[in-house]
Amino acid sequence: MDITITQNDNLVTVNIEGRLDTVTAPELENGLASYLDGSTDLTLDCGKMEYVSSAGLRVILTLHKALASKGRKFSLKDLNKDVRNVFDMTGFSRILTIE
Amino acid sequence: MIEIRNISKSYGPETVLDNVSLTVETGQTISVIGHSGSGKSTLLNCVAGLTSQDMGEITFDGKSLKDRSGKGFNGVAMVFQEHNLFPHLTVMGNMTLAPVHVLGMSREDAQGKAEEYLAMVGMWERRNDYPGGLSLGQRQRVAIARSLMMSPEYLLLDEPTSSLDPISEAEVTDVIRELKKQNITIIMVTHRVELAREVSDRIVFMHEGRICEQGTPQQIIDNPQESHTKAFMDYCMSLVYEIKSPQYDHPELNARIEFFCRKYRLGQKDVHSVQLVVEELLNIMPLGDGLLLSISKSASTKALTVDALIEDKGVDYLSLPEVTEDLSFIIISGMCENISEYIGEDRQRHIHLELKNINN
Repeated sequence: MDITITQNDNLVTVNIEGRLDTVTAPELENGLASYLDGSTDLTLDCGKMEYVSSAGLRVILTLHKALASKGRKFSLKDLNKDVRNVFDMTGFSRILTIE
Repeated sequence: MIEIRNISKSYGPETVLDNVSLTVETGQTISVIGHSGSGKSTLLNCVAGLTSQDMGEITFDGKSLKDRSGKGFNGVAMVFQEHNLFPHLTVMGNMTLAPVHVLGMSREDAQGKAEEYLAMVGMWERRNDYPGGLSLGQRQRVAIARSLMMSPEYLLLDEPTSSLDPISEAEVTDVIRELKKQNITIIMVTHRVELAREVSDRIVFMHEGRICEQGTPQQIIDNPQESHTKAFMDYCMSLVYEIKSPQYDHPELNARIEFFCRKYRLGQKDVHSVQLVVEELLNIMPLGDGLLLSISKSASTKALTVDALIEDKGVDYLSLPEVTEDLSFIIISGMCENISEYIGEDRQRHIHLELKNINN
């Protein structure tokens, strides 16, 4: 998995490329740890994310809760059909903002 | 044409061939498949004249092997699973030995012919090397080229790709495809169903010494009718992987799953579906004492299934609240048509998952 982080004004965009699974989910969590204490909004660009498992969902949920508790916006965008299916079946698409 | 009529063979009280009859048309490639002990290698050995049948007869264009042997070479060549190259001779030496000493060919002519066949199998550059310096796949390619040196009308292949890694197997498969262009009548014994599919005009399935079913590759592999054939195809189309601890090699398992799915022509969506169900299953099952994973594609029902086998400790894992409320189980439930957990006759705990929406 590759993570690319860009920041424009008050929005941090995290491009995730590859798999977000048991092996790679800790990388995402560690990579974004420093952004949780800031004041910016966060978007996960999932256009190149080809696979997500429960391990990835747990990290995403942790991010959502951390940002929501500080009144910051958290969203995901460009989920492919199979990844979106996992979000739908777990109910995550109801609690997260997906563009 | 090879005609095998009512062949029976026993070793003591054990019947290994039971009234087997088969016709192989000129230029056809027939694969004989089946479990170990089904009689397929014994049948091939009878055809080759290496073993005598107790009853029945085998003819080649109407003549027995004995009647054909008067000319020095009876027209039947065989390639063995163990290649059987002479280790003390170079590749070229192995190629030219029989043509020179049996057919009386000049060494010059034999070398010229050998170079052609070695080029055909991609081994010309290694012609002066000894077999010990070649990989198993390379040795097998040389063995096949060597068999062609006698200009056989009939070629018998006994498990030509067994013990080969996937790359070597692919190399040998390419060579067998080339053989079909030579209009040689080929009987191949193999347990590699996909090899049989790729090169055969017809597949013969043997079970307990008898021909159970035969037909085109599509008929036998994709649409078997007999119960034994169906069971064999289901067995063949399985990936078995042992999980020894929670620190199992995720990337390796995912790669094995992808290779398995590609082998059976499943797309990327299906690869991800299987990988996801397996990952989530391994999240909720105890792995401390190991777990045996089996992924199968049923030839008859077309369903993809994931099975896990663990030691029974009296716990119904898929009924535990901490499991059923877990994200992993929610994903499994969303991805699977059927989920079951039971104690098998082997007294081990079985988890059986049948995936939904698999493209076939």
